[in-house]
This record gives sequence, structure tokens and C-alpha cells, in this order.
Amino acid sequence: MDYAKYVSPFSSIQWYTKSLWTSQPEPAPYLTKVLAQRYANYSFGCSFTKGNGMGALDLQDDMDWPMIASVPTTLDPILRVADLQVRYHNGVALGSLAFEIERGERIAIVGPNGAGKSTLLKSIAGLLKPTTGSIQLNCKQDDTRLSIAYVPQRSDVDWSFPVNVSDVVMMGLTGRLGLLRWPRASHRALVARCLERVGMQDFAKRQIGELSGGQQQRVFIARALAQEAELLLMDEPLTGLDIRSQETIFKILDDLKEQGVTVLVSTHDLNQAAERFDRVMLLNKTLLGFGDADSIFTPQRLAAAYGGHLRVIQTGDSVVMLEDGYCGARESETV
Amino acid sequence: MTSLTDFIFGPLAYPFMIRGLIAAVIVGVVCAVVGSYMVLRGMAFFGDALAHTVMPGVAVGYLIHGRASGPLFWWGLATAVLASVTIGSLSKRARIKEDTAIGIVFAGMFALGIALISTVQSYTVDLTHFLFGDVLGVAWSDIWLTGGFGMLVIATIVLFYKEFLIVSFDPTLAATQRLPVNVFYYLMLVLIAIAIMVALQTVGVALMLAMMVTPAATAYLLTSRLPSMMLVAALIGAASGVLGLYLSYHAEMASGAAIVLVATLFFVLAFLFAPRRGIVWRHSED
Amino acid sequence: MLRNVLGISMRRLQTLASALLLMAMVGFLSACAAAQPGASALTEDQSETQTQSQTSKLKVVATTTIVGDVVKQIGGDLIELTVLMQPGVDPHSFAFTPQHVVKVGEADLVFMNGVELEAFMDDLLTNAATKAELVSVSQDVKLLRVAEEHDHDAEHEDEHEADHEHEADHEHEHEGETHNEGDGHAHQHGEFDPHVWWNVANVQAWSDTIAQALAKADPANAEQYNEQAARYKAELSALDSWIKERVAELPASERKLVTDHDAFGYLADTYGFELVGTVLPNVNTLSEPSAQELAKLHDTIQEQQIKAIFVGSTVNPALAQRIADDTGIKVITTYTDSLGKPDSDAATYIDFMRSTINTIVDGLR
Repeated sequence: MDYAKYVSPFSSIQWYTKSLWTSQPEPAPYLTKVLAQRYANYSFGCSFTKGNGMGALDLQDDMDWPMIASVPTTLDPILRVADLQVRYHNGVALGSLAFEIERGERIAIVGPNGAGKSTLLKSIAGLLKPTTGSIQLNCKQDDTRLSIAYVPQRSDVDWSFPVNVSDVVMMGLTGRLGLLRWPRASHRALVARCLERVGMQDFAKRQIGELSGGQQQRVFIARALAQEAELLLMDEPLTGLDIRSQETIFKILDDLKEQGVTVLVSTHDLNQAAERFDRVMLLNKTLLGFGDADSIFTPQRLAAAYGGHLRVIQTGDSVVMLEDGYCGARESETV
Repeated sequence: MTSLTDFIFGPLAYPFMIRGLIAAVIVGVVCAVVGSYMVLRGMAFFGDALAHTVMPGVAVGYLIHGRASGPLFWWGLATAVLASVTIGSLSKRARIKEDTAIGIVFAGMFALGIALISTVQSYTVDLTHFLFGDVLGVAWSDIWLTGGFGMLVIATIVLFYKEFLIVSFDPTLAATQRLPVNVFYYLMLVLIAIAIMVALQTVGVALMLAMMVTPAATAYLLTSRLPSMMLVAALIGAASGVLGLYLSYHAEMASGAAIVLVATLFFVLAFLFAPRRGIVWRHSED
Repeated sequence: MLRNVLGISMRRLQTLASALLLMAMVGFLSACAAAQPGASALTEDQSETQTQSQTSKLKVVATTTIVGDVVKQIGGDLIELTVLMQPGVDPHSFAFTPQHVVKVGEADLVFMNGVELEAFMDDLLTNAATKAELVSVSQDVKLLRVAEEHDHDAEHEDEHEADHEHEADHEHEHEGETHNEGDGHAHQHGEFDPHVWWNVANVQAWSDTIAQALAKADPANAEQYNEQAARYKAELSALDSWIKERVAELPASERKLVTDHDAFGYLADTYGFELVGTVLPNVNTLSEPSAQELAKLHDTIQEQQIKAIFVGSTVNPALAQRIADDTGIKVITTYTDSLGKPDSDAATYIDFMRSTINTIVDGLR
């Protein structure tokens, strides 16, 4: 079967099937091609589970289940998180996280809505204070100051604010300018260069509300470039973008990788997470796995992360996993 | 045309008109600049409430000093600053929305002021009406005061423009840049309190509020960048003041009401005819 | 990090500031309440306190300090008088308290100014459910219509004699314009000016009304009431003559009055003053004059060589002060709607009138 045409860029597209075991099951709209191929050789006894708890999946091979599934070879952690816990008024958002990220890595953070992806990114950015635990930056160097850029979720931005594209990028220079200093020609030139690198130089004077989704993301990436960020945190940047825009973003990210910029991206797209990122972090309030996609995207871990919101479908020889948000989807965290 | 000259210069023969025009222009400009931030951050209710929270401070000042308006201003200013910082801190720390925090502090302090007055004398007159101004009744000393504080407020906003911009637009960026977000958040609240108090003393409650919000909202429809928004708002604020006073003179209309009406008229015109955002424009595009 | 340090200390500072503000307010509140002995208590008639309870005395309530004083002059020791308002209180914005309701409830007789001065009266009576008889002391007074603001041609409206009927057969040009009844603080006039006490003859009429009512309620002492009323009326006649003498010291052209708002209608009408202008266009303190009205006042003051603006104590004098400064004249404060404190120079009606007339005449010299 050609699954490619069913690869959907939209996250959490919900699909119900009435019958699991019909001989000609409907091809699922949300497919992870990789998973399907990977598990082609397994046969599963599958069942639906509702509510929390792990799926009752019988696996033929016994999986030993370390949290950190793989560690890169170079050991220069740019970020080390230890025993991190973040609480809100209404409960724990993140609990007992511990991991390290190496310089230059490109990491995808996946998990269902409400898993704490935004919370984690904001904590690393310094906007939220952890209740307990620590976030260490630039671990090997003596200097722990690290230039971090945070690209917010599009829904968190006030697009009607009267600023244009250049203004937004210039904001990235505020810290460097310092108090009581004004931008000079050299700063404006820097802003122009950053816009060129993301291909937005023609839009410099547009008010930000007039931009498309992909263009908006690129503006914020340009701002991160102006900040000369070594660590770039992006909160669901690919959500709602068409394939072309996504590809443009990835090209820019490749560019950044060459320069050694570490990138953390939260996403709902498991396929992309598996294919385009060095390591994948599976999160659902706690760390359920961190390593390369092969080790992380196992049915057990996925079931633990997505709980009863995961449907397992057998289509012929292969199996696909679907995130199902229809029944009792948790509300996305409001931060 | 002599009648046109009379029209323009006639009112200027009266010293109170000259003072009124100067005061209206100063208040119009200062309120518009501060009001731009209030409009963008949805703080219009905050402004109105703050004008009433000065009650207990003014009441205490009145009980101590009697009706001398000098000390009352300082009491009112101190209370306004304190109230704005309290509201800011309540809405940041507790689980309370800003809206609710404002309502609580506003109603509580206003009632406290009335209670303080009423225990001493049996009339519960709303002192804010009694004590605060009329643009036709400003003295030169008021103008110096207004001008001085106004310059202070505008200078602060200009000097820290980029910091205020970041804190208003994207606090996370501010955090990643190690900008002391809280300092600028509270500084903005204090500036708003000062601008409100000064305008209150000069032109009274209703006019002050209109001068904060209406020109800025009009400018928002007409511009797409914050610096030009503040500039256009200031121009509209000043123009409303001048035209309003002339209207009050030639059409025998109460001065405060006339200024507010002119400002509102500007807004309606912009709402209808602004390029790209006006209703008429958008209909003609369809 | 610096940010953290600032964050923490700002929080402590805010909590501290909020706590201090609250404590300061509570402290002031209690201090003020303690410092004012019986702040909202009622002024009891002094002679009452030295006797044992004499349940045979008539319980009388008067609303304003002026009415109260006249009632006291006539009733004297024979009645138990309570005056609702304290000296200095503005009758137009007076709000009664539960204690007042109790007193009215116990009263046998309630005297009020009338002419819609006491806007609160209906509510008070309803709440008190009193058996008392309500007497408006101005019921037999010849009323003037509310004066219109004069333009700078200064046409008189009130130069009519005291025995005109107050009905609509006045033949005057600027006639009977009712003012706007604004909300908030207001002289909430109907058509007639309630400040009748500025004409001494009216207060003589009051005396008759009061004596009559007291006699009817307490026939045993009717004779004394009538005697005391007659005596008081004689004093009032003397006051009236004295006023006329003092005013006569001013040449006719010097009797122009500019006031902050419209309070002296009867004074002008009876004693020959001319109401030239007011700062506020009507008697509502929420009203604002237009620039043109102020300009006209400015012109009037200069053209007619006005010497002073007279203000009362219930309106913000700032506007009056500005115009006075601009035209180089004075602002003079007078008593208007209430007697002064017992130790002031306006503790009784007669003193009140003397003080005001003296202030005005001296100010206009």
C-alpha cells in the first residue's frame, strides 16, 4: 500500500474506525509510514483501551525500557536538566525530568496535548521558574550565560500589535543594545541580513498580522538569528503549515545546524519527528523516553504517552498507531 | 476675513482660555502616549478604576489639610501609584484575573474613601467630583505641575521605549534577554498612575479617561507601527483639546464634554474611513 | 541572577506596601472615628440635658440648622428639639442615617424648610413610619421662581415687591425658567427657589407657622409659644431694619452680586442687590460652564466693575478663583445654606444673617 498519500501534515487528525477486524479496513488518515513499515513483521493482539493506563499490548519480544535510549558520542552538553518539576495552581505540569542535550543537536519533543511541551520550553527559556530541580546551561564552559531564543506558539502572539517585521527582528537586539541605547545603521544592517537568511527581506515593512503562518515563523527565526542564539526553542512551529512552508523551515533549520545551533522543537507530527530530528523526546508530564526514534517509538512507550488515546489498527500486515483526541481529549495547557 | 480672525483670536483674549488650551494640549499629548500602551494591553478599565482608587488618599489628605489643593494632589498621587502597583501584583501572583483584581481594589478603596469622609461629616459627597478639575479652571501652577510630570512621563517612555515594547509584546523574549520584566511592568503601571493623577487634577475624571483611550484607539486604526501610533495619538489628543475648547466657546457647550465629543468624532471618522481598516474601505474592497 | 533578586524583593515590597496601605487606612479610620465625639450624633437642644426626663415635653424634629434655630427660639425649653443636620452640612446632598430615622419615628412634630429643599424627606418619612405631623415652615411664604442666569445686559428679574403673587402672572421677560435637575449633588429645585430664609420677612412668616403648629400640638403651652413668637418676630424686624440700613450704605450701583451658584435670589430681591452673574451656569455642581459663559462673566465683571465673587462652602471655588485672579478681584466666602458651628459667628439665624450681610456689604465697598 502506498501510505505516502495519507501522510497528513495536520496533527491530531482524529479518525474513528468502527471495526478493527474487517478484512478491508479503511486506510487511516493519520499514518506513520515508518511505524507501519517497522512493525510489518510483528503480529499483535490489539485491543482498545479507554482511559489512562497502558494499552494491553502483547509484544513478542521483551522490551527492556530505559528512559534515555541513546546518547550521542560528543559530550558537550549545552543543556542539562535534573529532577525538574514545574507546578501550576491546578497541579503538576512537569515532574521529575532529567536529561542532557548536546550542542548542535536537533531534538523533537512529542507528546499529547497537555503533556507539558510548552511548559518545558518556557522553563528552559527562563520564563517559568521550576518548583524544584535545576536547568543548567553551557555545562562545560565556565560561563553559564547562554543566548536562548524562544519562538512562541502562533496562538500566543498578538498579531494585531503595531509592529512590522523589521521591528520584531530588531527586538532581538534589545538585550545587546542595552539600556538607553538606540539602534544604529549597523544594527539595521544586521536585521536586514537576518531577514535575508530566512527569505523575508521583501516583507520588512509589513505589519506582522499580514503574514502567512510560514512567514510568521520565519520572522521569529530571523529574530533568533539576530539574538545570535545558540539554543533555539520552538513551540509547535510546524502546526498548521503546509508542506512547502514546512520544508522552508526545515531548510533554515538545516542551515542553523551547520552553524552549531541547538534546536528544540515541539511537534505533534510523529513522522517528521522520527525522520527529521536527531533525537526524540517523548513527554507526558514525565519523561517517557529520549533517544533516537527507533527506540522511542515503541508501542509500549507510545501507549504510555498517549494512554487510551492511542488506537492501534491492523491493516493487512502492518500496524499503525493513531492519536485519538475525540474522546475526552485533555485540554491543551494554558500557560 | 475679520470674522475668521475673530473666530480664532477672539477666545484668546481671555487668560482662562489660553491656560485652558495649553493644559488641554499637554494633557492630550501625555494621555495619548500613555494611552497607547493602555489600548494595546487592554487596560482601559484599569485607567478608569485608578481614577477612583485615589479617593481614600485624597480623603485622608482632606481630613488633614482641609481643602488646600496642593497637598491633596500629592496624597492622590501616592495613592494612585500604590493602587496601581497593588493591582499589578494581585493579578500577577494570585489566581485572580487582572479584571477581577482591578474591580476588587477599585471598589474597596473607593468605599474606604467614602467611609472615611462620612464618619466625619454626614455628607457622602463624591470628593473626586468636588476636588478635581475643569480644564477652564486651571491655574498657571497647575500647568507647571502638569507640564513637569508630563515631560517626566514622556521622557521615561522614550528612553525605555524598546524595553517597554518588548515587555508589552513578548515577555518571553524579555525573559530570554535577561531583561528585568517586573521592573518595567511596574514602571509602566507607575507611569500610568502618574499620568492619570496629573490629568485628573487638571481636567477631571470623564475627560481624562477619554483622552487616554480615544485618541490612541483612533491612531491604532490609522497606523501600523507603535512610534507612529503614539505620535498620531498625541496629535489627535492635542487637536481634540484645541478644537473642543473652541467649540465650547463658540457653541456654548460645556468644555470637557466638547473635547470628548471632538475626540470621539475623530474616532468615528477613522473607524469608517481609515485606509485598510475602516468599514467603508473594507466594504468597497468587496 | 539580578532578575531573580529583583523579582523576589519586588514581591516582598508589594506585599509590604499593600499591608501598610491597609493598616494606614484602618488606623486613620479608627483615629478619625475616635477623634470626633459622636460624629454622626444629633445636636440636642442644650436645655434638655439638665433635666430629668420630662415625658410631657413635645418631641420636635427640625431638618436644617436654620429651621432648627427658629424653632428653638420659639419653642425654647418647652420642647425637646432635635436637629437632623449638623452645622456646615449641605442640605441638598444630606443623607440621613439610621439614628435620624429613629428620632423622626419618636417625634411628635417635624418641621422642614419645604419648597423641595429636602429631597430626602419622603424616604425618611417612609422609613420612620412616624405618627408625627409634618410641617413645612415655608408654606405661607411668598415664593420666588428660580432665577435665570443673567446675561451681561443685567436685566433684572427679581425687582418686584414682596406682595406679588407667586403664580404665573409675573410680567417679566426672563421668566420662570427651570434649571436642569442634574443628578448627583444638586439643588434639586422644582420651579421655586427654596432659599427663602434670605428674606427676613419670610422667617417672620415661619415664626407664625411654627407657633401655630406648636400651639396645636401642645395647647397647654400655646400662650407661651405665641409670646415667644411675637418676641422673636420683633427681633427679626430689628434685624430687617438693620439690614436695610447696612445695604443703604452702598450706593445703588455698588450692589452687584456675582456668586458661585444661584443661592441669593431672595436676598437680591428683598434688599436691593442685583444678581449679575454666576460662575456655574446652574445649581448643579456637576455642571460645567462653557467657555463662552465664562467669557461673558469675565466681560461682565470688567464692564460693571464688580468687586468680588461670593462663594459658599459647597462648591469647588477653583473656577471662581481663576476668574477673580484674571480680573483682579477677590473671592469672598460666606455662609449660605447652613448655620455655623456653635462657637462661630453664625450660630443662630440672626447672627448668620448679620455675618453674611456684613461680609457682603464690606466686600462690596
